[in-house]
Amino acid sequence: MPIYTTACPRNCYSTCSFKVLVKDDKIRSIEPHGENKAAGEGVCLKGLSYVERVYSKDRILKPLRRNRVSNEFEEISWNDAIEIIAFKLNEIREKHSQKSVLYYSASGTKGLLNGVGSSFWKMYGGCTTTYGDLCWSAGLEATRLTLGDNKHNAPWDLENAKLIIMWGKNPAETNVHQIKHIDNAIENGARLVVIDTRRTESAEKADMIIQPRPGTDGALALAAANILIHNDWIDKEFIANNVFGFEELKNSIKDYSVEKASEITGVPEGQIYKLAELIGTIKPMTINAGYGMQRYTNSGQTMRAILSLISLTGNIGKPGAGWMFANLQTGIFDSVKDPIASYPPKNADGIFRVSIPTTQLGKGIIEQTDPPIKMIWVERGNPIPQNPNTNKVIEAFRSSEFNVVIDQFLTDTAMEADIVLPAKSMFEQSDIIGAYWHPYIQLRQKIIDPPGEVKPETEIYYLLAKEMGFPDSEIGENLPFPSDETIEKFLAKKLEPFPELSLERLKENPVIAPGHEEIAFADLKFPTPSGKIELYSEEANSRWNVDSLPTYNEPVESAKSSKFSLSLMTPNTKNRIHSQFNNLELIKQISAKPVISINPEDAKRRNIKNGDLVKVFNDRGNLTIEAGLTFSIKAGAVSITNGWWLKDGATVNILSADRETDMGHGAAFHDNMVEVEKV
Amino acid sequence: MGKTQFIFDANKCTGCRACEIACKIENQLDVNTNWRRVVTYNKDQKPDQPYYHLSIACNHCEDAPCMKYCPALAIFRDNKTGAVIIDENKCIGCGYCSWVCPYDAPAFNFTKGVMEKCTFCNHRLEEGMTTACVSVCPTGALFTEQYESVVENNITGFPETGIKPKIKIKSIRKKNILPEFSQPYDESILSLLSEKESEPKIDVKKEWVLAVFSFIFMFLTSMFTAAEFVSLDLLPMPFLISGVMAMGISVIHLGKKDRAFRAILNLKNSWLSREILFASLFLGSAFIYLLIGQKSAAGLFISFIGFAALFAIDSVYRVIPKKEKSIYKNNQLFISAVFFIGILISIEISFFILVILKILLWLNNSRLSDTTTSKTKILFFYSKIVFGFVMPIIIGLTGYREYFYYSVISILASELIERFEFYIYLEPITPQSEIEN
Repeated sequence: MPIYTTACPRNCYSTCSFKVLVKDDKIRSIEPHGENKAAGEGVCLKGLSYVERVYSKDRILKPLRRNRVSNEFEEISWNDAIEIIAFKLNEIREKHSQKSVLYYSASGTKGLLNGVGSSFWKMYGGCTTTYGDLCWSAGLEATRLTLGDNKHNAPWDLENAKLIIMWGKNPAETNVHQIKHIDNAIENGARLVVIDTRRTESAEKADMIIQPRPGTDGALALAAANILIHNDWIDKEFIANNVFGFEELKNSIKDYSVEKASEITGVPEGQIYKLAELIGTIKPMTINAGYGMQRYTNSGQTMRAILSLISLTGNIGKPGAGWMFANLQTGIFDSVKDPIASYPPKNADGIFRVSIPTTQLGKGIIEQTDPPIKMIWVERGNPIPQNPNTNKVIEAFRSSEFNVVIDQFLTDTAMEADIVLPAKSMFEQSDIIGAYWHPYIQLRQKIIDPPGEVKPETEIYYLLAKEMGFPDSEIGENLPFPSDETIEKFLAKKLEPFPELSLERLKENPVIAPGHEEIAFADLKFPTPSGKIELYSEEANSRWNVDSLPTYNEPVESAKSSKFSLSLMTPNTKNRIHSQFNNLELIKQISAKPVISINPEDAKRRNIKNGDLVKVFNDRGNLTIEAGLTFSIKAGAVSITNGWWLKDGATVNILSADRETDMGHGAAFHDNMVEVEKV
Repeated sequence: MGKTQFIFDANKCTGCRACEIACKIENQLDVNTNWRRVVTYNKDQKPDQPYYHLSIACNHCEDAPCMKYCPALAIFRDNKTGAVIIDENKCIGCGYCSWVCPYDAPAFNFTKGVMEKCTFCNHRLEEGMTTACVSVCPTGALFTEQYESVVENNITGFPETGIKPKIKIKSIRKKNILPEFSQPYDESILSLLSEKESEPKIDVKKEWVLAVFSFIFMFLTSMFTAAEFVSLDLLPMPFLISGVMAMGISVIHLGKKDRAFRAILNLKNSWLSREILFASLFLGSAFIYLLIGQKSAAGLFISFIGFAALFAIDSVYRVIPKKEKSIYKNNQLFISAVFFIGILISIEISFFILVILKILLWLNNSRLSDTTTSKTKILFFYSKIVFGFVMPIIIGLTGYREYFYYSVISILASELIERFEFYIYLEPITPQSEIEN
């Protein structure tokens, strides 16, 4: 059986390397690629299920046109599809403006060829796009403000840590390959602390679990920082040389007592003290902060507060020490890095109108004027279930005259399209991908031809450009001709500046990104305005209008202010990447139906038994799903994993508000109070 | 013998179930067929207990009961790899291997009509590779290793019945040494939590044929034996026909009816083969004996064969690893026959004594206080009491001689109920049932 090397391009920490076994020109199975030191141990269940996903009976293989009256789809030819879209694009540009087209792309698949979309829209004369990010902006910005850059030690360096704090991260479900490194660290004598409202799979390994009330992690961190300073568990020399704003922080938190933090967080005082003691007395320490925790309206400040614990103890720039949040060291092809790249540009280029916040997509589209949005183009995304305030996003799509969605399946968003174009799978066109946890550059190699009439996006743009009569010279400059050779040439050209990287090499193995620092910030150079770690950040205040120092502010929507009493968390699950994968039979066997996790105490008060159907509601909407009683979640919080489709009846963003985080233009999904009652 | 075994590290498994999926893909199984299963201890995550998973498939045991007891000699060991393999060209699809396996490894393939299970990825082992489940495990919790001798595993949820499974389970580490995981909880809350998921492996609704078959043989043996002592007019043809029909209907539940003859190939080890042999011998010889119609010493010998058949049937169930192992349950059919013969040849006093003894036996073996007791079980129990005790006592007191015939019918009905109950309560051990208890 021929075996190919490739890499999974999903929006996932692990970004695994695969070996793909092919039999009779079909993908037979997927096995791990041991050359990837971070994620070489195995393949997750989603990766394995590609064998079904590529050949799924539900996969879209031909362009589809929807009749808006009957709401039915019919298959049409590529010629017709391209003609219809080109006609609409011309019409909208003439009647309104090219800026009446919203180009929306999300994180469904990674790759350098994704940039071809922007090249096309530039040729069209521009369009409207979005800013901000659903995922990680608050944390990225807090890290940038504090450390100057988003990078961290190599994943395997975690094995050198003697204290690991998994703060709001559940790698067992979201980064399963990290488990090996954690296990090895524990075997080397490391202590593990898990801080999470839920007793997760990852928490089973922990020496201690701390379960704060959702959104209150900042208070926990500030109290811990105060204890560190008070007990002199800090690295004074490191602070003197490398930290900016120590005295200011010290003064601002000196009254931040354990009692106060305990009252806010619901964590017993002894645990807070113990946490500080561990941080203050065990070195080296790595804090790995998750993404869910920074999806509150206060979470940029929360992340800055947690970062102060690293800073005060000098846990950075050394093996086993540091702040793991996002490792953008593979971003070698990007001219501007995140989070800045996702912000609206200071000086608009006149071509792209970057005006709609991703976090408020529905509202943004509906309220956009001068010119208003008349057409939406979606690729690599499924914003209806995944962006906050689902009902508003649906309303926006229905208010638009003409929608085009490229996808492999009829997702909730594709269901709102006038034209659905079939999307390639990761095995059907080569591309180069980076990662945000490990440092490998990888080739996502073309292994099979696309099934049916599926065409890669690059070819769709090419055909559209031809149909619209763009000059050949311009097309040649901006869009790769649709053939495997030109795609390879396009990619090879991207690799030219990096002698370490070549397509031939990448076809065999993942390769560590040029310039990779195994120990991030080992030179103790922090690209901040002061050149030091900034506990005090002028920019935090000037850019985001928050305090220059880390503070704790109660989330906008929380038990303290809402008429609803339960905090709804909408974490990711091992069974999906957001809304991808759960439509497959292999995954449905494991993840059959949505459940709301609720503490038995909360359930008892509401007369709910395990398995009862319950209504979960707030002013934004409601869901009816099964109750799953579990001691794993703290009383006062409930959780439903995100990514269920509308037809599954558990699209969590029907309940979420479209609010931004305090910094970074992120989505504050988890400022989400609900009530639950038995149906 | 190949000396490869599974190693499973419960500390490392996060319950992701990639192993299950890899197995389905590698072996091209139907999407809802599992050769490997992940089971979870403490699903509700009660704070005072550990929480962990076990990933379990066939363990290719050194003393594999499936291989030992397969009546059709359809299961063999690949000496090169040590894998225990079901030969689908020999399997008769009787399902007995799944009953005797505490790991619930063999499963019926409805398309092929035969049993199938984990092959240890024999095709991969032969090529020097490891199994599919092992190769994909993202945490390194499951792997294979060469070993010297198998060890006993002592972890809740893993059935250890002394058959030398080729798996070593690293048990969970002591941890949570720092502050407690969560607040203490109110015990009364537990009633709101999830109910057990495990369903009994042997479903009486599907296996009623076996209950009827074994009941008829108990009846025939008892009648034949009693006829040696008291005057009972046994007609040879009905006797033969009911016996042959009983054996005939038990062929229905085979996946491969055309291979039914293979069921007697394993007289050396399988009680199932022996059962069929003794039952056939008994029927044949009893028929001839009745046909001749001459009482002789041969009659007792034929009775003896009948009892041997009943003992074999009891033994078929005796070797199934199960939670409950009472002497009565293990010899239920044999005891029923002795009791029923007693009734048939009884005089007034012994009749009442026997009926009372029987109810004492039932009460002693009753599991009505179990938390799992369903309405069906309660119904069965009380109808058994009515037919086997209340009615015979009332009838007996009204007129022992005059209505003896009705008493016998009533007792027979209770024995049939008792036989069905036997299957309801059989409950072989599975990893799922073990981990939930």
